[in-house]
Amino acid sequence: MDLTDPSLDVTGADLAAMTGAGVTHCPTGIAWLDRLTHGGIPARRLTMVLGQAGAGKTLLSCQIAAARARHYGTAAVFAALEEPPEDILRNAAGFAWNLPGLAGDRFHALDLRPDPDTVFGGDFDLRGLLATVSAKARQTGADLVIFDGIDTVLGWLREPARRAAELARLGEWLRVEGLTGIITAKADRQGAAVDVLGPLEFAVSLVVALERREETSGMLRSLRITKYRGSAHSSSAHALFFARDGIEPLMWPGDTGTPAPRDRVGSGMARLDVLLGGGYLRGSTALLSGPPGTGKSTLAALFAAGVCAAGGRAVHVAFDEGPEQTIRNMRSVGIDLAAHRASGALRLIGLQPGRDGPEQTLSGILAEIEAHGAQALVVDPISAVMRGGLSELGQSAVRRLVEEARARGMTALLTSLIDPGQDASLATLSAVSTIADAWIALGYAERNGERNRTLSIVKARGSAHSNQTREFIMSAEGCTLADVYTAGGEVLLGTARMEREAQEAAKEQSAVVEHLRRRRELQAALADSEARQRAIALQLEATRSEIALLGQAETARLAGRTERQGLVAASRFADLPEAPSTQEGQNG
Amino acid sequence: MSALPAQAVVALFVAGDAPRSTAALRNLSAVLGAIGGAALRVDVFDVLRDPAKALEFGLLATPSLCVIPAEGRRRWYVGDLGRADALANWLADSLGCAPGP
Repeated sequence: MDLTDPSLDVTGADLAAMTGAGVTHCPTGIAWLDRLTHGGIPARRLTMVLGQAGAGKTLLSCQIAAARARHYGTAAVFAALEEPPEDILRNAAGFAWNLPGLAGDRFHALDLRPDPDTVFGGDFDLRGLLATVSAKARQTGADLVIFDGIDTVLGWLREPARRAAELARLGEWLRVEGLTGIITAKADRQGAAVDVLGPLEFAVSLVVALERREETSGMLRSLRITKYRGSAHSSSAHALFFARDGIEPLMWPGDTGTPAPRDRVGSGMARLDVLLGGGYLRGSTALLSGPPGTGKSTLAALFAAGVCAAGGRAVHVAFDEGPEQTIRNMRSVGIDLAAHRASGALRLIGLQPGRDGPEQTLSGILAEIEAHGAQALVVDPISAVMRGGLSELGQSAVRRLVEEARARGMTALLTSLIDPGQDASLATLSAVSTIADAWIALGYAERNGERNRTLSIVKARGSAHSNQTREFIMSAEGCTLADVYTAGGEVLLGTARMEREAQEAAKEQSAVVEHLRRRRELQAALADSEARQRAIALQLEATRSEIALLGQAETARLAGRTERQGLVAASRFADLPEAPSTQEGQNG
Repeated sequence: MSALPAQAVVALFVAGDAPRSTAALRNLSAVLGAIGGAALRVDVFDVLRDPAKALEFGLLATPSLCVIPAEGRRRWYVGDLGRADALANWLADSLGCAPGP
């Protein structure tokens, strides 16, 4: 019976062409995947997505199909060998790609689950499957074909060599048909293909291994490219989480290249805005750190309320308390969150810390941001995001959150508790403070039996900020900052500051009084001098007049005497005397 | 020999390779004759020439034999048709009649 000896129809040269160097990349439209693969999956060749049940193999292949449909308008055939297509569409419905909407248009799912009652009676090959998918691809113009759960049918073949040969046939078929192929298959815990796949190296150009690891502290999903023949690629493991767009690495591979805005967003407190050089930089992330009760939540809520009051939208995530409790607490310091929530501007969320792992919490927060269209985010405290998972996962989640906020131009405030007895809180702080653009440290100053809140700006990238500590005052009337006084090298706060303020005020008052008194004195002296000056001027004038009158009188007298002498001489016919006047007078 | 449901159709899917197809068809005819199904219609499809047929049936492997009853679901036999006994048993079972002598 010659059917027992099926030929492979694959030559060595074909194999080399199929898997050799000089690969052409087929961009997937998924930015991070195209970055990790240096351009995409191999065009007209075979990509294998390996992973345990629930690692996201089917999801990733659907994500690629949807992204290609969206970005390049191409269609894909999805051969469902394991799960019914309805389930696949339903599972993908929660993501942003609208896979059900693409179904029958750009996403053509074929229900090819084998009949469990199928009887096997001898040798066979998978050309039937390839013919089925060829027909669908030609009918729909698809350029991508996905075989989801290829191990189901490969498992029918008992000999490992036959399985490898069928994979090779699949690769060759892609080349001939001009199709790009993805197969998904189950792997064991170490990320290696299960035995049923046999030796894969020669048939598959790209191997993407997905891992799903249960830890006592949570679930870790990761992706690693274990092989990419003919292409450079990232070889490190990337922790994954479920975002709105599907599977994504927690750490974004590379720079997002978002331009940094220069404009400011009000902090909700005028005096703090001044300290910050105008407010928080839009799109920046600020860390508010401090021991319990120093006003972190208050400062964060002030910001959220300020954004809403200015017409923006904010998401406020509180971990240690429910929304009603947050509203009540903030009302006591004059912040009306209820009004902003009622207007729809504020989304208040209370989450239970440690209930989910970091990546689930991150997914949840990102979904809320997206749904709410928020421009501002408060997470109080950020340490709660890091709880309940592996520590490196927590840091990655926070980093990712900050990157997402930055990429969306969202201003974020993250609070962090400093508990001197807890190393964990310091680890959070050091992790977040390096990522954050600004860091505001809140604290207490204890002196003379009282505690007073302090605020200082540790760092503020891109801002000329004040280096001075301020007193942070919270009251039912609202919150503000006050200048602090230093005396003898000590910072004065609270009562001491108020006393000092009173002293300063008294000093100021007396200075004013002194000034007025002195002014009046001088004015009096001036008036006195001016009066005296006027008296002297009058006396001067009188003297001058007197002198003038005296001169006139003398002139008149002399003129009178000369006239009289002339009359006398004329009467006596005497000569005019040589020296008149006195002699004549004595004689006369 | 019990009566076979005349409405049933047997479809044999092969992928090119004419000698094999001929042999498979010959084996199938012999077995059908032995179990009293010589009158049954047998369709042979070469899915390399007619992949639309493969798509219509959701074909996975070749060669495959499919019994298509007038009512009820299709039944599949995957593999070459070299084992006459196994094939005869399966066909008789699928067609709802006793195996032949």
